[in-house]
Amino acid sequence: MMSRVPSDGIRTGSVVFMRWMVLFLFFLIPVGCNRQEQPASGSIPAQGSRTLKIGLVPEQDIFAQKKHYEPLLSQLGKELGVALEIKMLPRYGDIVENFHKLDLDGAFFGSFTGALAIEKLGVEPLARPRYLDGASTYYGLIFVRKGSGIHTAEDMRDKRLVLVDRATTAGYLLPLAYFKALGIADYKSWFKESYFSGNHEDAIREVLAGYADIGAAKSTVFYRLAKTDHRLLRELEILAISPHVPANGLAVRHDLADDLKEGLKQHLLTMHRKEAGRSILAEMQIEKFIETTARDYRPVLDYAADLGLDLTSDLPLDD
Amino acid sequence: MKKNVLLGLTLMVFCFIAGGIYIASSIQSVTLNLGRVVSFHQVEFLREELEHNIKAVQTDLLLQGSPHASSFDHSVALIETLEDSADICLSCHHSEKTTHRLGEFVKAIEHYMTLLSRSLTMQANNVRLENARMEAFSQGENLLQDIKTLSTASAGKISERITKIQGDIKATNYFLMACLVLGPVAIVIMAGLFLKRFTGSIDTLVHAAQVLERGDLDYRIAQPLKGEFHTLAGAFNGMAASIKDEQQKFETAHKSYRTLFETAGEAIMISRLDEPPGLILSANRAASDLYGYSIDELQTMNLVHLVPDGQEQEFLEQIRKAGDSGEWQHRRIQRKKKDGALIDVALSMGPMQQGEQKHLLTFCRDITEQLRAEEEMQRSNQMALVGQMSAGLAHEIKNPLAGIKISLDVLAEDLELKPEDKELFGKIGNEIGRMEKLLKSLLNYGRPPQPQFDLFDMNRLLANTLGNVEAVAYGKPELTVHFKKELATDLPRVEADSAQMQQVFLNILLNAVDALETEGTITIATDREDENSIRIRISDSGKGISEAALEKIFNPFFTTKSKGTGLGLSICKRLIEQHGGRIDVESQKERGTSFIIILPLIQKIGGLAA
Repeated sequence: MMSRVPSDGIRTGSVVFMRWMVLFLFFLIPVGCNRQEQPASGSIPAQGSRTLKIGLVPEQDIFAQKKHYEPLLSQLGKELGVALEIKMLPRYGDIVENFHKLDLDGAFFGSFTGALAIEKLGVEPLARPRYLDGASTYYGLIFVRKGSGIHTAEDMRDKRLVLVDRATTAGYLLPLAYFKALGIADYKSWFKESYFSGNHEDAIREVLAGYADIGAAKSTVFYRLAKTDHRLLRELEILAISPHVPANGLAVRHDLADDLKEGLKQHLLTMHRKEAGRSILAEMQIEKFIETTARDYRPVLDYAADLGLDLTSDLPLDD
Repeated sequence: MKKNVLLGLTLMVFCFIAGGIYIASSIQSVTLNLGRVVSFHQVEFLREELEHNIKAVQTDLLLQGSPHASSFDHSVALIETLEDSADICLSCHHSEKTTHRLGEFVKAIEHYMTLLSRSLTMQANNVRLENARMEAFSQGENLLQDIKTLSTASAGKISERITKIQGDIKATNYFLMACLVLGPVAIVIMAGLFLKRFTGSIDTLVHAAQVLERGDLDYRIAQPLKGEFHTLAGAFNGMAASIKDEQQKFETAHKSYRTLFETAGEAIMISRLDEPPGLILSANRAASDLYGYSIDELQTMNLVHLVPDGQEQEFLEQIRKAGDSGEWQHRRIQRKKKDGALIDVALSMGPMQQGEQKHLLTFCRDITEQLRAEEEMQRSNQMALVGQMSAGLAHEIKNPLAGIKISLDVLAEDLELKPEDKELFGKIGNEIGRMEKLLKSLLNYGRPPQPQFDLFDMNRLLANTLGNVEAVAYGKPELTVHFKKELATDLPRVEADSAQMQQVFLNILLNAVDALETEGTITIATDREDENSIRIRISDSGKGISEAALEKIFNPFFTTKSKGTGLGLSICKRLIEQHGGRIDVESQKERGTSFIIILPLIQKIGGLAA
C-alpha cells in the first residue's frame, strides 16, 4: 500500500510524513489489539518476587476450571503481595502423586484428594467455600438418562459406566458404595464398559450425550451445569446420592512459611468483607470461605473405610 | 477601520482555528483510517495465527495416545495459546453482525476446548479415547473451515474497505493541499485588499498634510474615507480650518502690529540683549525719520551708534540693567542723528520676550518741540507772573503818582516860576504822563478786561482801524506808506470784542508803520481759514525782524524801540488767546513782516451763543 502513494503524485514530504505516521501507528495499534492479552503461563503476577504454585484438579473442563479460579487467586496474590501460579492437573490422582514433584505450595483439593493428601502428604487444610445456598459441602450423584429403565443392578448389567476419577468421592467412592449396596461386587465385570471422564462435567455430558448409560459426578458441578444446560434436569434421572463431604478447599504444604499460611487463610476468610472479594466470590457462586481442618475430611476416610479402602495404604489410582 | 481590522483578524483567527481543527480532524481521520488498514492486516495476521494455533492443537491432538504425544502441560499451553489468539482476534471486531457471527465462532472454540479437555482428561479404552480425540479433531477442522470461510468472506470486504480508506485518505490529502495552496492565497488577497484600502487612506492623508505643509490652508480632504480614516479626515479638515482661522488672526494681529509699528509716531526699535547687546534687529519708519538713517541702515547698526560720543559705555550698562532687572526705564536723553546733530528724546526701553529669545524694545520720541513748548509755557508763566506783579505795582504806584501830578499842577499854578522852572515843571509833567501811560499798559497786560462779545463785520473794523493808522502815517512827512486791502467779500460776521480787536489791529498796524523807514506798503487781508474760523494777515514791507528777536517778540517788556514799553504785542497775543484764537509772525530780514491772526467765528465760552 505504501508504495502506491508516490505514484498518486503526492509530494515526497507528505509521503515521508505518512510513512512516519504509519510507522507510529504500527507501534500503537498492536498495543491496542493486544491490550486484553493475558499472560500465557497462567501465573498471577503480583508485587512480590515470590511465587506460590497452586494446583487445581479437573473438577470441570480444565480450561473452565482454570478460568474459574483465576480471579480468586489473582485477588489473593494482590492482597498477599505474592505471585500465584496456577498449576492445572489432568487427573485428580496426579495432585497427590505429583504434589512434591510439581513443587506445589498448595492446591484446591477435592474432598477425596484432600483427605488423601492430608493422610499421605501431611498438607494443612486452610479454608473451604460456603456456597450461596449455605452449604460448604457437596455430595455425589449417580444418574442415568430418563427413560433408560435403569434402576436395579440387573438393569445395569452390560451397560456403560462413566466415572470421574479414582481419586474422587463423588466420581468413584460413591459409585463403589452404591454398587456394593446393589450387590455388584465387581463393577468392571458387571458393566460392559467402564471408564473415567477425568472431570465431573464430562461425566455428566457423557451420560447426557448417550456415550455412557450410568454416570457419577458431584452435586456442585451438576447443578452449576444445570443452570446453563437445562437438559440435565429434564433428561437425567438421579439414582443415588452420597453423604456430604467438604467442598474443594485450599490446603498448603505443611512446611510453608507460617506467615504465608496465615495470610492465605485470613485473606480467604475475610474476602467476603471486601467489595472486590465479594464480586469474585459471587462469580464463583460462593458466599464466603470458612475455616476447615483435617477433621472435616474424616467422613471421607470413614466412607472409604466402609468400602474397605485404606487410604493410608497405596491406593490404585490408575489402572 | 478598527472594526474592519478586528473583523479581519477574527476572520483570520477563525480560519486558522477552523483550518487547524480540520487538519487535526483530518489527521485523526487519516490516522484512524490507517489504523483500520493496519487493523485489517493485523486481523489477517491474527487469523493466520489462530489458524496456525488450531492446526498445532489438531496436530497435538492426533499425537495423543502415541509415543510422540505431547505432555499435558504442553497441550494445555498450546490450547491456551489458541484461546489467547482467539480472544485477541475476536476482541477487535465491533459490528453487530460480525460480533454475532464471531460469538458463534467463540462458542465453537469453547466447545472445541471442552472436547480437547475431555480428550486430555478421559481415562478409557482406546476406542473411546480415539473417538473423543476424533470428535475434538472434527470440531477443530470445523473451526478451520469456519476460519477459511470467514477469511474468504471478509477478504473482499477488507479489500473494499482498504480501497475506500485509501480514497478517503487521498481526498483528505487533496483537500489539505488545496487548503495549503488556497489558504495563503486568500490571506494574501485579503491582506492586499486591506493594505490597499489602508494605504489609500494614508496616502490621501499624507497628500493633504503635504499640501497643508506647502501653505495651502484652504485645502480640504474631499474624497470620502471610511471608518477611523473618515474621522481622521474630519479632524484634519477641522485642524486645517482652525489653522486657517489662527493664521488669519495672526495675520490680522501681525498687520496691526506692523501698522502700529510702522506708523507709530515714536521711533520703535528691537535690538539684541545677548551678545552683541544693542544690535538693532528691527526699526520702524519713525526711527528712520528720527535718526536720518534708512531702515536698512538702522538694521545693521547698534543702538550705541545713536548715543552721543562718550556715553556709549554708560548706555551699554543701561541696556544690561534693563535686561537683568526686567524693568522698564524711562528717561529724557540726547541722541545723535546721522548728520551728527543731537536731538532731545524721551526714551523708554525694556525687555521683550520673543519665544525663547529675550530682546530689548526701545521707544524713542523727539521732544524738541515739547521741550520748547514747555520752555515757552514756563516763560509765559513767568511773564504772566511778572505782568501781574507789574500790574500790582502799577496799581500801587498809580495813586501816589496821581497825587504827585496834582501836587505838581497846584505848585505850578500857585508858585511864581521862572520860565526855566516852568519848562522843568512841563518836563516833569510829561514824564509823569509817560509813567501813567506805562502803568496803564501794565494794568492792561496784567489784568486784561473781560471781552464783551458781539457780532460785527471784521472787514469794516479793519478798514476803520486802517483809516486811523493812515492818518497817523500822513503825520510823518518823511514817510511814504502805501496801504493795501485784500479783504474777502464773503467773510461772515465774527463774534468778538470789537474794541479789543481794534486795539490789536491798531497796535500791529502802528508797529508796521514804525517798521518802514522811508517808504513801504502795508497790506491787510482777510480770508476763511476754515468753516469755523477766519484768517487775518497784516503785512509790511519793512526791514523785518531778526530771528533772535522773532522768538521773543511776544514776550512782555521785549522791544526794539527806544521808547517802547515792550507790552504791545504781548497784550495783543493775550487778547487774541482770550478769544480762542492764535497769532503767529513771519518775518524775513529786509523783506518785511507778516502777522497772521486766526479767530474763531463763534465763541464757545462766554460768547453770545453761551
